[in-house]
Amino acid sequence: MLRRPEIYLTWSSVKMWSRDRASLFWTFFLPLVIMVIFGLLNFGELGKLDVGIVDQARNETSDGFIERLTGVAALRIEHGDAAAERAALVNGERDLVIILPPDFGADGQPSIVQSLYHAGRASESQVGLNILQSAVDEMNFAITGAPRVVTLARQPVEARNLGYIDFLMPGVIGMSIMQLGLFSVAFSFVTMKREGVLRRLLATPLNPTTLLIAQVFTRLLVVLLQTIILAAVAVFVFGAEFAGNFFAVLLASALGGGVFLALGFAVSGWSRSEQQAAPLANIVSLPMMFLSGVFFSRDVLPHALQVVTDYLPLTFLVEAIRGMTVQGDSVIAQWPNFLGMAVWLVVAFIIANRTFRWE
Amino acid sequence: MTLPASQTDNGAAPIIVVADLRKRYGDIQAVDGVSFSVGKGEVFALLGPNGSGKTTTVEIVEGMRTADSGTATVAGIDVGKNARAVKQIIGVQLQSSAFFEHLRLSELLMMLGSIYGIRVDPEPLLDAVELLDRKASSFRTLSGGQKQRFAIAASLVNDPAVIFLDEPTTGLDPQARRHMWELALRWKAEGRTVMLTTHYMEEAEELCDRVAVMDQGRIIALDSPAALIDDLIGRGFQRTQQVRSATLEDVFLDLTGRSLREM
Repeated sequence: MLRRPEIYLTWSSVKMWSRDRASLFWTFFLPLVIMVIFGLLNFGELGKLDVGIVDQARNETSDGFIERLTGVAALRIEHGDAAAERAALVNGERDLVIILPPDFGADGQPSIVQSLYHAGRASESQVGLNILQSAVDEMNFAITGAPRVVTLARQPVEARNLGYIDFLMPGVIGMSIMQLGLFSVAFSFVTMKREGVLRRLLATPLNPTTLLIAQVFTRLLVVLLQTIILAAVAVFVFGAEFAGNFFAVLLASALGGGVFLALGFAVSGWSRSEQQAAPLANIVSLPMMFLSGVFFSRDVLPHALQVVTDYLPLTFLVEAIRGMTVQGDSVIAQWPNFLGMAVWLVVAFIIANRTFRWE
Repeated sequence: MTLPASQTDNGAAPIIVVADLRKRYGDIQAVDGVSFSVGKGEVFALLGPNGSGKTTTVEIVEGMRTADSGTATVAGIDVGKNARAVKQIIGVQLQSSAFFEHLRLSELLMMLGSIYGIRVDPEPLLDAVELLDRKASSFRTLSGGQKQRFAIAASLVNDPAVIFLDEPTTGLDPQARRHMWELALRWKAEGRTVMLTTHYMEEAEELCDRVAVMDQGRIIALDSPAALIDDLIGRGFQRTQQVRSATLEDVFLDLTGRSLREM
């Protein structure tokens, strides 16, 4: 069994890989450093506040009030009923939920605007509450010329405390998988070609596909190991949330690994030397690193760019993992992202099959 | 004066039979109708200047390249139809062999064994090329001569019936060259067939039962070294300088000894 070439070659390449300090550095150390640096910088403080509005009044005054808030650039307004918005707040998708009661804006009647805010995100919520308070004051003044017809009642809600690390962890995992897939295979095959290792192996009865399978197997094992280590550090050192099923996340990682390995083969097939492979792999990976929501939300991108980046392979991978770790989604709930990855896998496989040369 | 393809020197049944092989690269007809056969247990060399097509010919027989036309068989197996079956029974040393980094010599041999589907004991193989004490080293850390010797050990992993050596002594010091010759003659004594290419005529003369001289993709002479020399002398050739009973290489070996260096 152990002497079957596929298994023996896989075992051999695991050994080779574990003895290669450079690959260990790029695969484990660098992503960890990136996660630590970005985790400490906590870029998550930036960005808009998500405000949910529950309009139970549905009259001119409430419309005007909502319009007033919609005009505030720092707020991103969502609408829904009380139960849905409260659930969204608990899930960490809202920073603040405002409930406009049925009697809101009725003639001279004092009414109470309820605002539920995310207790775990005091600083973000405070900004939102202040904006809300000024909107309320302004409206009171406009209606009566006297303050305090509408009162703002503030109520903290214990919600899952999602911080930047929760956003960052799936991003760094996805990015590491992309780098490993694109660079390790691209470089090892180009090196094997250049040094003549591949030629020497072609003088044996080795089926070239066997070598390919062994290389892919090894990388997929490393991808899983990488996911486990990065998630463990994020969860146990930085206190990241891990809501979803761990094996579902590994499945997403393996599929993403397959996509980027296939792209890596396409890159190495196209290149004759490391000098060609490196820039090409960078051209593929760098835009995705910044446009696929690894370090910051794609919400900050211009709309046109968001539409394009919706279809990047890294976007599918990062969003699938993020949906699982943050929202606790199942594989089935994340099917669009899995489908996206599957399509990329097929596309990349076809390209690799056409460009890859053994000599 | 090409001899009939079926004729072999020692009268043994041919193990390699090449018939009218052709291979073209763009404008260059690298191999242009080559036919020869090699008997079992023979040491056979393809000689010729660079670009004469000898490496291409050997690589077609090894199953590493496909011919445009013509056939090559090894032990009755058609290389064009079943290259993997041929590769299973031959050992190949390429002009420059390279192996995976980060694997030890013993691990590399066992890995190669797994490709042939056999369990390999690396120690006797390494011992035969005097690399036993380097079994835990990686290929990368070996010196040039040691790499060459390891490549030989690697080509013997599957106990091959036919061994192909492409310029096996290029770049070696005289001690290592003599060592290589000893190995080739040992293989012959073991009943293996050896087919090699070389630029060193004294090597061909020392080792080979027969040689084929190639130029511009064709075989222009094929016979035993002695017969080819006799033929030349018969045509009235005279060396300008008289051959002495010792050469400078003999002097070199007398001074520096015959034991292998770079241990």
